[in-house]
Amino acid sequence: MFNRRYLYAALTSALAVLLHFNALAQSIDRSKTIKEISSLRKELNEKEMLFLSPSAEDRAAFAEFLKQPKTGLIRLFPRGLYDDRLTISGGGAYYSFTRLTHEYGLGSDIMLQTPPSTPNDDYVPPPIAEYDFQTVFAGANYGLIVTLGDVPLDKVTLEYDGVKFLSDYNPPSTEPKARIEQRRAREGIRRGWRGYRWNAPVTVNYTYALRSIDYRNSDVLVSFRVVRKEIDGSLVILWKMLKRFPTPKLQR
Amino acid sequence: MFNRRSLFAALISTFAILFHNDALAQSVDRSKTIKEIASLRKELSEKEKLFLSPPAEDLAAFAEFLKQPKTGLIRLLPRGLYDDRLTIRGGGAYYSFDRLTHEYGFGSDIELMTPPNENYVPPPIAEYNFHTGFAGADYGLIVKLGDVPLDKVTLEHDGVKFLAAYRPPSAIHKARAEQRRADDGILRGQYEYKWDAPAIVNYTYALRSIYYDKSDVLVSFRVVRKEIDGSVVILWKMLKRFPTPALQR
Repeated sequence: MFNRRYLYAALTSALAVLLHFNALAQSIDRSKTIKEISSLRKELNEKEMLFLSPSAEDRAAFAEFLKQPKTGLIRLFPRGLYDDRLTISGGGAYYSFTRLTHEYGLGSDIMLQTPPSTPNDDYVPPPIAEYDFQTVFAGANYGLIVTLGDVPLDKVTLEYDGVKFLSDYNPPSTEPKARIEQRRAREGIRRGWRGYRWNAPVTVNYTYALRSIDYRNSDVLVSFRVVRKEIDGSLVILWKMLKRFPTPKLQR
Repeated sequence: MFNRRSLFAALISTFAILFHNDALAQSVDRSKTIKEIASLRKELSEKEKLFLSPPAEDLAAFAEFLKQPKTGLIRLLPRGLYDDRLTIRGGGAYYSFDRLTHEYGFGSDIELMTPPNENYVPPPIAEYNFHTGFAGADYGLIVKLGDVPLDKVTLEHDGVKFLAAYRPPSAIHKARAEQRRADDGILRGQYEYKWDAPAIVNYTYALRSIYYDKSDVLVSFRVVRKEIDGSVVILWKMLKRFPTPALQR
């Protein structure tokens, strides 16, 4: 009886020790796996940043311009073409000139769109003629883009002919009026021979101005120029912040 | 004049070749980068699958049970604890017994919820909750059956009968009313049917998950263990798959 008790106690202890070691080994394994995941994510993030960044050649070519404050050189991908190949939300098709990020979901000023009918399963970039810049509509937010043509970015100031309307523009502060302005942006607003719309066709070596109104977050006037279209479908864009307006409020 | 023209042509050709080569090199570089991204994503996906998979020990322990059709063993991570450490949508906190995936956003049946936590410290099991019903008019009902072996839970089990006989409405206003009833909880005898239930190790549950225009399932599941990293291992069995409910809007 005595021996049996000892044997039982010894077996139970051995089992407990074994199970404990097993649980410990498992926990170490899992902690190793999550560290590997973290390291892979870091590496992936760096590769994606590299893929999203413009070429060193373009950065060198615009080095003087980029010395100015509130300027930048970015790469945009057509929406849908890289969505399932990049982990960044929005697939590199969006950009925020205030937050300086491609990350979609927290407020973006511009999006590079291609027609929905464009098949993108084969990752074949559509021709440039099918590219469209679009301002991002969410809630009552909206924007207006104007095509300025082949004008050097340095020449585009707040006093520039096509920019004045955007610079003087006052976004409404009530939701019904903001919705009316959204509709006007969709239809297009004509001032002289210029048209201000929520979208504009993309042309290489063309310069544009954009007023992007993101209620409670930001209100910016940016000029930008399409520097090139790359073989992989991406666009390289040089930009300059012309004015940052007070954050617009919306009375609901 | 002839020489000047030749010099000009030679210079232009040289530039053209140089720029072409440069563009080609860039394109090759970028094509290499996107391939590396694809390879990293594949590796990451495999690691995440491994991290989400249940322990081999549990798979062995329940091997006999898992031989039955429509059964499974999964790991659920508490919501918020791994969201920014995993790329899978929902951070491993959701599961669809219909689509057999943790991926959130295409219809999930269950979620493992904990109070907000930013320190990556798993809360005690007492703070864990199962949730169901996540979007639109979709909803679900969970019942806690207690420490009952999963094999004993059939459509005729006392606590399951109500869920098996339950008919989801097809009008949206009625579905909304049922959502509210699920929020408040429905009492039938000793059992309570709600949109949520506290997670308890070695407890068995039954879940009716109604996902309009997609699926309607009745599942029983048992919490096998809670791990040090905060995850919960769950053994489950599909009891019944109902016809896909349609919603008249």
